[in-house]
Amino acid sequence: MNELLDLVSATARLGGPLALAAMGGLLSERSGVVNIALEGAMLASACACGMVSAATGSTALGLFAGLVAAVIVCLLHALAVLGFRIDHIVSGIAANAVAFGVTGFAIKVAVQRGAELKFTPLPQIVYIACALILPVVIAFMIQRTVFGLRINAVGNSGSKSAEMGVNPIRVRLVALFGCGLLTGLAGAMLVSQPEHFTANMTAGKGFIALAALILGGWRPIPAMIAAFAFGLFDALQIRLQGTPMLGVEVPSQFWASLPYVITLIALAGFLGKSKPPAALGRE
Amino acid sequence: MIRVALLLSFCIGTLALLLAVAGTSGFDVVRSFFEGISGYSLERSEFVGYGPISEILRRMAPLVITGLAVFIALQVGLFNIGAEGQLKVGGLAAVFVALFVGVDGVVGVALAVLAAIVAGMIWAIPAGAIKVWRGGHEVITTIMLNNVAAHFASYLIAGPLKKPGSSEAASDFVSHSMRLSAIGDPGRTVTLQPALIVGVLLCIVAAWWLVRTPSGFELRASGANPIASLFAGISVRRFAFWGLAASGGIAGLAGGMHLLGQEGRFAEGFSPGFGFDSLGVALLAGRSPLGIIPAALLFAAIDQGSLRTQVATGLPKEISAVIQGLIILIVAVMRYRRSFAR
Repeated sequence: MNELLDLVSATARLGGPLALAAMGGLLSERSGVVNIALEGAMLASACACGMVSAATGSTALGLFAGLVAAVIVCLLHALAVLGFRIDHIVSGIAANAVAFGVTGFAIKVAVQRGAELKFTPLPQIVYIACALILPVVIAFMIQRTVFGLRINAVGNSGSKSAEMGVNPIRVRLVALFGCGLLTGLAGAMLVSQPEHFTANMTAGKGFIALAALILGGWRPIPAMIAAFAFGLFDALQIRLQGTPMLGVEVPSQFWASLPYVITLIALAGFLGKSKPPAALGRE
Repeated sequence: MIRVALLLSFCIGTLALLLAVAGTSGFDVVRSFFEGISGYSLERSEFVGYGPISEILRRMAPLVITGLAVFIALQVGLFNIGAEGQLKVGGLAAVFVALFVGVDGVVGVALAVLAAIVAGMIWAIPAGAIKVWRGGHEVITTIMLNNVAAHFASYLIAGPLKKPGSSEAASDFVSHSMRLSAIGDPGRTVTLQPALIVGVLLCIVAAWWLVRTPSGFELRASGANPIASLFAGISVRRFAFWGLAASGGIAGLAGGMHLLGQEGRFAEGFSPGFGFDSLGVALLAGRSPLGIIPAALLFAAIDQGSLRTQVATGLPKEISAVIQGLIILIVAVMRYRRSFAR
């Protein structure tokens, strides 16, 4: 019983950042902007949140800094994609590289100066609640509110939306701002567990969130479920290390790679065909 | 033009901010960077040695081959983010052949390299198949395959491939007769990696093939304008599939050469992100594979210069990732506006 509780809490802790980042990706991609910069935005937020919290001793200020950092990364991506009209993937690669470099740089300078890195985060349960409630809110917003429908519209065709009097650039900017807030929360949640920032601590979690989004067919609730399923596999991988199954010793790496293999199978269309937004990455 | 100017000032501002935060003088940084990449001491006004140049060329070797891999995929309009994983399985295949097949010398090297190419191809084929037949985006599939490759590698070097009796998670070193050691005398001349020579030759061959042969033309056409190519009777799907497979094979070759040439064994941290750096190299290369050579040289020089600068002034070497990211951004704004939109 205790073990089960343990597993549930580990799943929530590991899946939460993925769910939040996947929601950020959802806003961005439903509006038509491919966003592999989720990784960089999360990393920037984790870094800013961890280091500002530790430096000022204020959890609220740290969280605010994390949100701002992620919003900056997402808006830079928006500027590159919507303003300079460069390829979405290229911009994402550049944003991730810059975020990786700047955060790695910042932590090294902080360590060199002997700065305090440990901080007191918000309780995990706050973030977990966000990760569970926000997808429901976003599902409602996407389907039932004017703004949600506008996001859908510009994600299907920016030019047709423009003809109907919806400014696609403005809608996408707001969507990417929201994406920044959500990935910011994801980064803050990620750094709240070890309670200090370490270099490259996202280690590909942004890409896994993207996979959860795709596995969920760009829909909020299924994407959240996929994110927590990935969290479960991650939790299992740590616990099942070296335990034999059906008489065969299954290496822990098998469990660790299972989510990626499942995503591949899903992308191959064997778990039901999911359809990306029509204008995704094209405008 | 004004966009580029805006962006340039943003980039310079970012770098200046980082320097200010670190509290190192810009002059010291530029000087140690220059000394770090040229081997010329400004203080003593004399040439110190070929060490730094050899080091840049050493770093450049895997970047040229992997850069060509990403470049070929870009030519058919696909982003091969999976070069990192393909390079790793290439290295694994090479070390497996070198340690367990029991052939030595030239034949052994040829077999190991061949195995690396095949392994890299196999690792790219799921992404190509899913892209061509099921429409799943190659960026996501190749990222997934990267993660699987990383776990697969860590399983193998902790288990079946692990050196017997060692506590470290790493394979044994391959025999000396199979090592592709650097050419040249480290004390007196520049040393050259065989992988670099192979990479440069491959780039030249690719440049010729893409421009001068019908199949090369068809490959470029299928990426540049898929619809027009379909009407011209080019099988766009076939080129997408085999383009990505070839890209994987070349990345696998990079892994095999890196193993036989530089690492000598497969350990944790076999690739410090060559697959990701090569994305920048390929984007920077422009229209011809020949552009890969200066692009890889630039990236290798930035890495080398940042490392030396960190040693000399304490400025964190992570600044190299910032510079490289900003270069990608500037080049993209200047040259790649919408050119890859599908």
